[in-house]
Order: sequence, then structure tokens, then C-alpha cells
Amino acid sequence: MRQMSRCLLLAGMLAVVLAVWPSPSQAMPAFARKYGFNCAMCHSAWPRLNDFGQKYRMNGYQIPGDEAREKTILDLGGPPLALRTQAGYTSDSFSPEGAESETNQFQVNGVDVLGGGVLGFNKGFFLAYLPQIEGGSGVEPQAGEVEQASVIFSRLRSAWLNARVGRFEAAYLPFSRLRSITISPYEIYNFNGSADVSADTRGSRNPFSLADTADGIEITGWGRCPWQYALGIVNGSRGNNQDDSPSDVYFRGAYVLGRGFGQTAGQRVGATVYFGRARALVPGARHSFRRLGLDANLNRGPYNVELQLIQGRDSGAFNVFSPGDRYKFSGGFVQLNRFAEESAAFVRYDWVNTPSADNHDITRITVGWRQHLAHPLMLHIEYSHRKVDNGAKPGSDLTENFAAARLDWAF
Amino acid sequence: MRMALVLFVAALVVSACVAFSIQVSKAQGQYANGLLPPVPVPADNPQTDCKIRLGAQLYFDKRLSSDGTISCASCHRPDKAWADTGPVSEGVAHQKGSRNSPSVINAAYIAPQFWDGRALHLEKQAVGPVQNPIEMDLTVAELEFRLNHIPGYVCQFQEVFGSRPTIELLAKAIASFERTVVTGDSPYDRYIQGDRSAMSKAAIRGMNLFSGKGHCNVCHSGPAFSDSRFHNLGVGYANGKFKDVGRFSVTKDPRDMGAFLTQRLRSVALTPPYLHDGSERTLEDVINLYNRGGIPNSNLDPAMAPLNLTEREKSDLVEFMNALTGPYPVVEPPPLPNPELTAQKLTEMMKECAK
Repeated sequence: MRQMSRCLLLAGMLAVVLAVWPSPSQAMPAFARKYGFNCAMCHSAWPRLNDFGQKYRMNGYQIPGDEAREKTILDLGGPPLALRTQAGYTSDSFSPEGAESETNQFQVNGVDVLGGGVLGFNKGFFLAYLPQIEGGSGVEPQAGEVEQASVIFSRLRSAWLNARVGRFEAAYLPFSRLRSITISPYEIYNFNGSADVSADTRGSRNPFSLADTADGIEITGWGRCPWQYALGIVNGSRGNNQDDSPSDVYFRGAYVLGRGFGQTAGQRVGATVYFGRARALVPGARHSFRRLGLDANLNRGPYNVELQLIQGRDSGAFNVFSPGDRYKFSGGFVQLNRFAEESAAFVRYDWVNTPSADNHDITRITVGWRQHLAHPLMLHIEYSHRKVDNGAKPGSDLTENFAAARLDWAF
Repeated sequence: MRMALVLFVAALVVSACVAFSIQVSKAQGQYANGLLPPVPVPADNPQTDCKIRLGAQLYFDKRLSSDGTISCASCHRPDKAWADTGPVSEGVAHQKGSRNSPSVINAAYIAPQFWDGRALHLEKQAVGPVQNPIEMDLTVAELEFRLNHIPGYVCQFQEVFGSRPTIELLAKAIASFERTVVTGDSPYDRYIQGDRSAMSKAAIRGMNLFSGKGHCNVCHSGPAFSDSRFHNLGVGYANGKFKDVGRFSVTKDPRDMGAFLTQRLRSVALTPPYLHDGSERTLEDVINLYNRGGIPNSNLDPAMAPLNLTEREKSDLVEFMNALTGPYPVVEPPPLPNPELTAQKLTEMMKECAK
């Protein structure tokens, strides 16, 4: 009975959403509907942004050069909202058995409610809400949260001075986790002391993760010259934002060689530095940590290479195996993409090297393909193999084999 | 699990139905998504048959040039989709201008006229070339003298406007005639109205590229495929300066340096060469220019960026441009009043009067 009520509620919500929708959608459909564009306007293989899409985002969701003519949300005929979900067959198995729950079934994988647009001249906003889903019966559980809610004040003097305030995916991630074309996460972005390997066996108890969205303010700049920058003060990831709000700072600079904006044209190289403070998973004082990153996004014809190197250093207070010694790790990923007219193929290698006393090194290889079926619909096929060295029991490494064939749908 | 599958498929079906019904309702409307609305006509210059006929005569009348060799139709040729065939056109005494002659087709649909937008509407545009020393090279006084000494025109102006000929009334008549030069019934229009066989698959792919990866739609928008604004593509930029400063010559605003009016695209396939200086011979060449992201300069339009189009995508875009070609009016030169009064005779008459 309860399940039936839930289904009816879902169907009702869906009907309401569809009833108020003004026109068919593509990509981040609220934007596509606004201009009559299709998804390829801003995405090389949605959700990954192309040069134009990246400029559009950085310009506060306004078409560069056309800011004065942008319609605000009050001028639009419908709500600037969109919905995204995935469904399909997922197989996720682990060795040794029982290390994690195993999945082999058709399932719906989360729902994102997205909103965005222009509030006024050079004032944009973006919202990503993940409704709570209890899960079960082929529906993957989802924790309810406001993943992003930010206001962008663009072109405060020129494109060289823009401010984003609220909760957002910060620019210290040169390759967006939220707009990645892979389901498998970037390991180095996810790496923290409370990741899926038990915190008891992880060498650092720093809960900070680069992958989380953060609350704060970010100043960015870009222009016609090849430089781009971002400077921010944030409260760290939601993992280390416990009872108070730390004030972490970061800076990122990037340079684009050749023609383009560095997403799908031109060769972009960048460097990032992040200084933060966090509690070691227990009440007490905050301790410092640092992340240094180098990245490159290289394009040649339909091929694209994403390269990320990150070195992390946590205060000795985080170190489980050698308390007092700084916990140092490094890692990164290299991903080769090939973007065709209606499809994208990708292969990525992730690695994280932990200190020898810890020895929970992670490697992951991911291959996959996305095929555009129709404007709001993408077929996604992916296989990923992940291995985590087990420092406590050498020879009994944790491995994961993930495979999925899903429809990725946005409306 | 089964319930999840059912819910997801149901959502897909419902969304597809909604999308389809909206597309159908759009297509059944009078016009939508770029289809041509009625031609905008200014309140102070309503369309009348007599005025249009008078405008057609004036459009073809070479006596409106100093040596009697050039009319509007010389550079905006009805048999060449109302444009010219060379990069730039010849004016009086075989002088050459510096800009390509744009087609008159659908000029009524965008507000600013000329590549630099110096005329706000057709009535202002029509008097420009007449006075341009490179094009038709007549002073206002000489133009009005000539019109007022051609009895056939005097009668017609009296009938249409209730007044003797003036340059303002000449402009109104020509503008009225130009407002009849429209094209809209292209394969694209028929496709949007529901005829799914009207465009080839390549053209449909090109249409999606147009509002997608190519982001042509950012500027080439609206019923005539022009945003009536000015953009800098870097065309004509070399050695740190522009050969033609474009919109800057009108506004003196540095942000307008090298910017030119977005051109209309209907029947564009019939009007090579392209761009303000006629520097690109074919549509493929134009698309290659965009694919490179234009020509870098300090004022390049922010929307310009390399597109990474494949050869097939470029070809598809050209196919879509071809699908914007509709039938356009081909007007034969009408009989002109008092042909015995040549430009030379009228000049001599004016000199006599001056004595």
C-alpha cells in the first residue's frame, strides 16, 4: 500500500511537472527551451560542456556578448526548471564477496531537479536539488539535499571580475564531477578519510573531499586573453563542515594555448592550490591540509585528453598509522575522449597513491560510450574495474567490477 | 524493479507525447520558430499598389544616377536573388565600392540597414546609395530636379502622395516596393509546418547543428535569421587594424570596431560571395571561417569560438542553408515614364535652369 502511494505520488509529481512545461527540452533543458537551442549548443556530449557552454556558465548563464537582451525568469513563459534521471541495468560486484552489497538489476538512479536562469542584468542563478528517495524495489536511494544553489554576479567590471555566491561546484575542479560523462567517479576527487573503504583502515582521517560542492564565494575572471583565474573562500566540503564553517581558500589559474576556450578547442593547462582546515572525524580542533593540482585539457580534432595530477598533504593529526607525521598522497587520472557527431567514447585511468605505511592505493580503469538517441535522451554504456590495496591484509585486495547500460534522460 | 521500469518508460512516453503535441501545435500556428510573420509596415508609409508600382519604376530607373548608368537594380539584381555576383559592386564611372551588396530579399524584416546599420529603416536606406559618390552620385537638388522634370513621375507622385517628388517620397516609394521582395516558403518552412519530407536528412542534421554545436542561432535568429545586431568576426582584420571599421564609423564606440550587421539567411545560398567585403566565395568557406572561430582581434565577438565541426557537419550546415531557399519574386523592369528624357538631357536642363 505504501509502495503504491509512493508510486502514485511520483506519477502525480511527474504529471504536474509535465503539465506546466512550456516546450520540449534538450540538455540543461531550461536553458535550451529559453533560446530554442538544442543540447549540442553547450555540450560536447551532455552533461560535459563545450567551449560555448563553459563561457555561458562563467558568464552567469547569459550568452556572451548578448547580456543586455537576456530574458529574466520573469519574462519567460514557464518555470526555468528541468529534471534529469537515469535508469537501466546495473551490475556492481565486489571481491572479496560481502565487502559491499552487490547489485544486479534494473534500477532508476536518482533524480536531479535543476533550475537556472537570469534574475536581472548580469545576475544569474543555478539550483540543483536532489529530492530524497528512500530506495528499494529497483529505485536507488538518494539523500535529499540542495546540491547547488548559487547566484552569479557577472561582469562586475568586465568578464575579468565575476562573483558566485552560495553553494556551488568550485573552480578548483578543472574537470567537473557533476558534468562528467562517466558514471564512475574521479577517484582523486573523491578521496578522503571517510570514503567507501572503511575509515578504520584508511590512513588519514581527513573528511575533506574535493568532489563535494561547497558553500562560499568565488571570484572568477576570463577574457579574450588566454588566462583564466578563480579565487574562493569556502566552508570546505560538506564532509568537513561539521559544527562550524571553516574558511578554506583556493586559487586556480589556467592558460589556454591556441584558439579556443580550453574545453573543446585549444589546449588548456592549469594549476590549483587549496588550503583548508578540518576535524579528524572526531570532535576537536581543526587541523590544516593542502591540495596542489596540475591539469591539462588537450584537444585535437575529435579527440580530447583530460589529465589531472593532485598532491595532497594532511596535518600529522590526521595520520592513523604514523600520528604526528604528515599524511601525503598523490593521484590523478588521465582520460581520453572521442567526441563524434552523436556519440562519445571514453577511457580513463584513475590512481591514488597512499603512503607506504597506509598502502591503500587505488586504481580504476573505466571504458564506455554515450550515444545520443534523441534530444533529451542518451544511451550510456560503461564498464569500470576498481582495485584498492588492502594494507592490513596484503594479497586480499578489494576489487569492484561495475557495468551499466542506462538511459540518461533530461526534460 | 518492475515498477521502476514501468514508471521510467511511462515518463518517457508521456514526455514524448507532450513534446510531440507542442511541436504540432507550434506547426499549426500562423508562424512559429522562424516562419515569416507579416511584413512590418511603418504607420507613415502604408503599402498601396500605386506606390509599389512607382517604387518599382524608381528601383529600375538609371536616371537616378549621375551618368545614367546605375539604378538600384544594378547592384541588387532581381535575376540574381536581388544581390550582386561580385565581391563588391560597380557604381558610376565603373567605381568600385568597398562592401558587398546585400540581397534585398526580406530586408523588410530587420530594422537597421547597411552593413554598418547607419540607416534605421528602409526609407532611410533608399536615399543612401543615390547620394553616394561611388554608387549613384546625385545630389539631393539634382535628384529632385530630375524627378520634377519627368512628367510621368510628377503625375504619379501627385497621385500617390499628393505632392511633387522629393527625396523623402522617393525613399518611401522604393521602400514600399522593397517590402514586396520577400521569401518564406522554403523547405525549412514546410518542414516546420509539419511536412517531414520537405528537408533531406542532411538538412535536418544541419538544422540541429545550427541551433546546437554550431551555435549559429545565437546571432542568426528570428524569422529572417538575423538578430539585427552587429558582431565582429574579425573579417578584414590584418596587421593590427581593420580594413573597414564597420559599425564603429556610425557609433564611434570602440566596442563596435570591426562589427557588422548579422546578415539574413533566407535564400542565402543564391547570393555568393559572402560577408561584408565579399571575401568568402562559398557557404563552405563561410562555415570554415566560423569553424576556425573567426579571425582573432581585440574586439572579436565573445560568442565566436572554434567549433570543431567535422566535414560532414559542415556539409550538413550547407544543406540546411540550401533548405532556406524559397521562391522569391522575379520582377521584370517596368516601362519607365518619359524615356526620352535621358540623364544627360536632364543634366543639361538643370544647367540651363541654373543660368
